[in-house]
Amino acid sequence: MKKKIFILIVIFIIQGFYLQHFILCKSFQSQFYLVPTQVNLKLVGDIHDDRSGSILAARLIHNKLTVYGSAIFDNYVYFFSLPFLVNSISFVGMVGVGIGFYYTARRKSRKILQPICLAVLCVPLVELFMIPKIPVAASIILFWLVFQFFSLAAWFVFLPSKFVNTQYLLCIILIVISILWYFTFSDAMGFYCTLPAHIH
Amino acid sequence: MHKFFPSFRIEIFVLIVIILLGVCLRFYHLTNVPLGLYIDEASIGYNAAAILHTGKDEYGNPFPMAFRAFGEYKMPVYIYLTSAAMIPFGTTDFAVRFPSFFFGSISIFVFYFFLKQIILLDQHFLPKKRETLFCLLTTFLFAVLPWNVMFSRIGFEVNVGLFFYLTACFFFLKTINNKSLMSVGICFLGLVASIYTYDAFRIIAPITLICFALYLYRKTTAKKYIILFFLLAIFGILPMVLFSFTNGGIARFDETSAFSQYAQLSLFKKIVVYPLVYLQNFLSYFSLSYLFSFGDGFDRQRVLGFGPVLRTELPLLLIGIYFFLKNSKGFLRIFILFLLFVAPIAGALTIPSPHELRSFLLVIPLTILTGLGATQLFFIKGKKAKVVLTALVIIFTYNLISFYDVYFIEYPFDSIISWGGGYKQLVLEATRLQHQYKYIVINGSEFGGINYVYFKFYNPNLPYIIAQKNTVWEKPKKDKNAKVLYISADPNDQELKFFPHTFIENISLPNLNHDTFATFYQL
Repeated sequence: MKKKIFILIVIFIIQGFYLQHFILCKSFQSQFYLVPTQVNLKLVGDIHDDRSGSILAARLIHNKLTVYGSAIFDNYVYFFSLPFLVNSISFVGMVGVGIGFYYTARRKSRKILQPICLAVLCVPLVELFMIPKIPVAASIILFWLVFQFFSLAAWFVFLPSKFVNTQYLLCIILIVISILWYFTFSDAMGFYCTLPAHIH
Repeated sequence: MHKFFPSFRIEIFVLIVIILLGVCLRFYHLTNVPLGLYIDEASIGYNAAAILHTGKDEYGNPFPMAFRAFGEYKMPVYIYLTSAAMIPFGTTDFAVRFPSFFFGSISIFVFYFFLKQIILLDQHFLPKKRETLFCLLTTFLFAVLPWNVMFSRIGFEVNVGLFFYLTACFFFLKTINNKSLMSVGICFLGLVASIYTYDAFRIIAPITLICFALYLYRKTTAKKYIILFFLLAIFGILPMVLFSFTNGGIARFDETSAFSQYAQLSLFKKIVVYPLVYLQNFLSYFSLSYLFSFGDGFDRQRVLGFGPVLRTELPLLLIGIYFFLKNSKGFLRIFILFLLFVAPIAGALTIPSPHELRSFLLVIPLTILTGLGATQLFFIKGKKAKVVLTALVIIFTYNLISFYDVYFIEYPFDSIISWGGGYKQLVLEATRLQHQYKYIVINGSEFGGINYVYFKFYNPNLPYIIAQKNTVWEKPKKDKNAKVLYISADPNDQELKFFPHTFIENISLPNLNHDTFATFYQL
């Protein structure tokens, strides 16, 4: 159990270092939140470009429901894209989130994982609709806290208590990759948010 | 007998309907969607015609193993197949795209039997009554997948490469399931053929070949046959391996290498950074926004508002992944995971990553997992589940129809500039005006302006002179008064200021803005 706790603390510290980069973000890129004006403009553009010649067909294909549905989908999945997760909560954190989803679907350790999983699924929605209204640092910390707790909980369930075996080996390899990644791609968050000039 | 497909006849009937649907989606307006031949397609067409008529490529090499084109080398199989297609169809756009269409269509058929072999790997993977539905549903998803259909409609080598690779996988599984030695030979032959078809398979196929050979060597008793076939396959790929180490063979990799920007690092740093760069690129291929929302961002293969995979397939994929991890075991699990992870292995070495062409092999494992998810949904019990299932089917169908509506009606015009849609009209117009002028001068070079390869493809007999960029073309002294037709795609063409010129006409594109593609002047 001590080894397990030690590994989890190491993961937590690493994710803490990643937060240092993440928190420098001044604002998220537009892919992360829904801008109704942009969506409406896209809809107008789509209808304008439609060449089917039939108003009914144009309306059926290009309407508010589909264009908003697609936009929300695109913004939402961006939070779960692997490159973003690797750069925001570390490689080991990203794998932890994956394990967490799998265990939640298998209903393993329901009491721990299910509530956090629900939070993980909801946090992007809050960000998606609210980012312009709440400070970016607050939304980053909220995102990071929920995702890293989910990841830690998943690793807690995944790692056995008694023996040092392949699961530990996998975890250690991922930790090493995460550390190297942190130093190698220190400006990678620039793909997802606006960083201060000195970072580049 | 079961409730979904009560008899073998119905299964065959449904399969035929799926294949026909797939063929129709690939054949409908084959030459008009996308509108125009891309520069690589035109190059393939020109070389194929040259091989067919003279036995030599555009540089005069007789029956080459790799075709030089625009500073790199193209794999030969697609070009020879296009030559064959030109026998019945002539030197046309259709002939250039026909091999891709043909192999894309029969891939659906092969994919179905490949799925049948997958199921045989593990009797407990799916309950018996779900097997038929799984095969048919997954084949349907493969037949209508936007990513797959789009690449089956363009004259790019990757689709034929996929067919060879899929065939190799089918015969590999057949060897395992039926202990057929002949299958080993065909499997290895398929892998060798894929290497000669598309660049990415030069990395993927040898890895696959070694893995398949090792597995078969361990599992079968006829070890000497495995060794014999393996050696024959090595002998088959040897020329390409040797070519890959030449300057020409490595040219494409040099152009697109993901590591080129880190070349100045010390050896120690390279050892650390290169694997991480590779891993970063590798992960990008599994990004949800790449697969379902935006694709790789290239205008030429981007249908506005859609990714390479339909958004409505995401829930099916997630369900499929869950059931796959839960139910699969042994070799079946390893095989599907192998397909999933080997697909981007070549693409991750290059930039930009992700890239739809270089990771095209992903369509196989992704479709299998999506099909698995869809199959599981059909058997969920309860009234609420039925409602959810019905809603999903309706939303998926709507999403599919929306995609094909946009793809067939809007995409050809949205992407016309990226596809070189004005070239055919340009060459035909130049041909019409040819007799009125002593010289036809086109402004452009290999990498900019008007590309000569379209002239070679659409009218190889049309004499033209290329005025290279940043140089001023001059009339020959003996023909100072000769009439010259000058064609430029540059609205701010600086060369024109050196000559007195008269505007003749614009070649306009049929898109909404009627953009000017090129302008004809008389000098």
